Amino acid sequence: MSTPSVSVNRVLKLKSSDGEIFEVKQTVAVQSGVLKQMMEDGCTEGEIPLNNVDSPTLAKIIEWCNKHHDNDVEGRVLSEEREKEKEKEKAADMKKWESEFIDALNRDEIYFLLTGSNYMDIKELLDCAAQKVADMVKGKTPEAIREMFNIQSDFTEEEEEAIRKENQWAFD
Amino acid sequence: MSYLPLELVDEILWTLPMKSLCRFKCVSKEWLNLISSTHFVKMHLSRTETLGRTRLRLLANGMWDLFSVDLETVSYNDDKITMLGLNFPEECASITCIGSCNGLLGLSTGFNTDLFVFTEY
Repeated sequence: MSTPSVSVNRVLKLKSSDGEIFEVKQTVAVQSGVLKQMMEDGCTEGEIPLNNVDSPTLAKIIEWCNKHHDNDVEGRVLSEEREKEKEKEKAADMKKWESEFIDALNRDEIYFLLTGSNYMDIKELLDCAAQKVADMVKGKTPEAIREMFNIQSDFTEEEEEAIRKENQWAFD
Repeated sequence: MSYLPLELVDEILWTLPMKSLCRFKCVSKEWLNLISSTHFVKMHLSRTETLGRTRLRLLANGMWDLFSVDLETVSYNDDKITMLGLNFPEECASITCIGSCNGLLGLSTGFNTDLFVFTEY
């Protein structure tokens, strides 16, 4: 398997769906499975169009990737110094940063972050956004879920009644 | 929010507890099929097993409450002991645990032959 020719100083130019250009270091961009693949294939010259990600979402995604990249670089230095305790502290700080980052977003922003990280294949961010949505939907009724995700029920009244009866304990 | 592709629904739902999942079976046929699929059930079970591996459930003698204890942290942090209400539909004098499997507890109330299944997740 070929390794991507990643250079510390080289940047990729990402173009959001609304036409804004974002410059990202290659070393940061490898967190996206899609961009990593493009680097391996050597097709990152010029602007890279990300047609499913708008500029506010892309800015958030890049903020996330930059933070994780910086943390990784520092983490490596620390592990060479065998300072395990500090490493643990770093991990805890990152968890705190992640939850503050996610908690500051409104519903729509989280939705776009979820779809954007899925489109760009950024696993850690996708997991984090999915967990946040899971926490939001956990206690909700089926009706509230339909409203939230714009879903039309395709059950007949009788079908829905039968499922409810079968799962009565979940509605108590 | 708006429409979510099924792969993302999957990503969100597999972290949810059983109770939410059973309720969400009546959101739509697509959701029902996803939650009932063998693939999803296996994924959910493996997560439950990971979560449950370090937890111990205790039934106190003569009480109706179930305690859930995190074995990794209990030695220095008793905040991790959770009391779980069992909400039996009837008054009962004693609860006996008959057995457990895949994160489910089989319980009997001793008064009659009614059996109950309990899940924490």
